[in-house]
Order: sequence, then structure tokens, then C-alpha cells
Amino acid sequence: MNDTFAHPLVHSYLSSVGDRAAVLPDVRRQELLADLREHIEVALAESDTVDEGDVRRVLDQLGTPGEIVAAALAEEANSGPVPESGRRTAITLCLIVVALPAALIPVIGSFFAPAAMIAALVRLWRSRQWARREKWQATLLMFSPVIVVPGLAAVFSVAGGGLTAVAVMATLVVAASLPVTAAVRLHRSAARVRQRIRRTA
Amino acid sequence: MASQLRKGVLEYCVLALLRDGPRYGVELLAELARVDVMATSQGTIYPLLSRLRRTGLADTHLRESENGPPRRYYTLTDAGRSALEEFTANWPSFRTAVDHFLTPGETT
Repeated sequence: MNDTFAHPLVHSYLSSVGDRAAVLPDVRRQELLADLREHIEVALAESDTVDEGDVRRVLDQLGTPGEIVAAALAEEANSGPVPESGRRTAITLCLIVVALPAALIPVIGSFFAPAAMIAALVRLWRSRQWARREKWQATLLMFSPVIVVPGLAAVFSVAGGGLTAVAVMATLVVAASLPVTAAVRLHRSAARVRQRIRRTA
Repeated sequence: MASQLRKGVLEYCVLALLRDGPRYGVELLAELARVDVMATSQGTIYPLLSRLRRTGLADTHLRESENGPPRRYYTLTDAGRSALEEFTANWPSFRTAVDHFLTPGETT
């Protein structure tokens, strides 16, 4: 059986699949390679002879590495959200929540807040556990204080006779609650994904 | 065109091939390839088989063989059987509906 994989055609075929499949999650890539390896091994074991022609025939029937990886990608796209570790999600959600209040920390706040915001957005959009629509909603909620804070400040100034301490506090509480809402929604959706995967596992 | 049509029904053809008992990968793919319209590059079926396994419609186990390496057998789970039954029940009316639109003079 080691002979099979030592065959240069099989070796170059599998490494071509492996290279193209780098876009797949690692588990899927390993699984696909293992399935193909097994297939080649079994098909050749059932063949009367094992010469170069037989190897070519088995690989031809399998299809080109491009076709196979395209099929795997299509399957992956249909399979819906892929959960990530609870720890990873927790860090993302913490960053979303602290980004805005962090701006109030003296001196370091002005560096830390944008950094937290960017890190949160990168982690949010790179995750495969949320749908595109959920990511947009969360992003809008994260940025909404930019509009809400001046808006509320203007409303308070006009209606309440100036920016009192209470008005400023109320504005900040409302503004800070928007990213918190985003985090809560993301948390609920992530919990649903995890639960569904557990049920089908 | 044919490949678009095949995509939707292929997994049920695979489930149907497992209805009467377990089959291993090479055997399953050879069986599919016997029917021209379902014939496709065999390697493209493995991602589908992987999904069936992952979503609990099929299960696999290794069985020793006298001839070469152990074979990975695919079996239908209860969930797979009921998915197949549901498809089998819906298919005739689906087929009739498509025929209805395709047959000249049938649409009003």
C-alpha cells in the first residue's frame, strides 16, 4: 500500500488537491485528502493489474483536483455557519463592548479605543459563525454612537435647556448600550449555532 | 445545465443506493457511474458524502477486506432513511409539476 502513494502520479495528484484545498477549513481538507487516498488505494487493490495505465484510469475517474476542490467549496458554502470556540467569541464580544467606553480612559484611551474597535471588527468579519446580515447589523450598532451621541446631545440641548451633567450621562449610557445590544445579539446567535451543531453531531 | 439538475437530487440518489445495505465508497461511486445522467467525476462525491456523515444522514465504519485495505462502508441512519422517505414521497408530484410546464399544450 505504501507503493500506491509512492507512485509519482498519485503523489502529485494528492499534493495538487492539498494545495488547492488550502482555502477549506483544515478539518475538511484533511478529510477530503483521506477520502481520496482511501479511494485510490481501494480502487487499485481491486484492479487486476497495477501499472501506470491503471493509476491514470483511477485518477481520471476521480476528476481533476480543481473540480474536486470546487465541489468541496460549494458544499462548504451550503453548510451554513461554522462555530468557533467559546473563548474566541468571548474575546470578540468583550472588544465590541469595551471599545467605546475605553475612549473615556485618560491618555491611553485615544489609542486603545480605535485599536479595540478595529480588532473587534476584524474578528467579527473573519468569523464564520455569523451570517453576513448579522455582521452588518453588529457593525452598524457599533458605529451608531457616532450619530447617536451628537444627535442626543442636540436634542437635550434644545429640549432640556443646555447640556447638563444628567444629559451627558444619559447620552453616554444610551450610546454605550448600542454596542452592548450588538454583543448580546451575536452571543445569542453563536449559542444557537453551537447548540445546532451539537444536536447534529 | 445537467449538472445543476444533478446537484439537487444527487444526495437522494446516494441515500437511495444505501437503502438496501451498506456500501463502500468505490462501490457506491461505481454504482452511480453506471447511470449516465448521474455520472460525474467521482472525486466530487466525497465532499457530499462528508456532509451526509456530518449532518447525521449517513454513518461510516471500516470493514476488513480479503483483498487490499479495509473498506469504509457508508450506512443509512434513521435520519437518512426518513429524509429519503420524504424525498420519495415528494418526488412524483414534483416530477408531474415539471412535466406539466414542459409539455406543450398543458399550460393554460
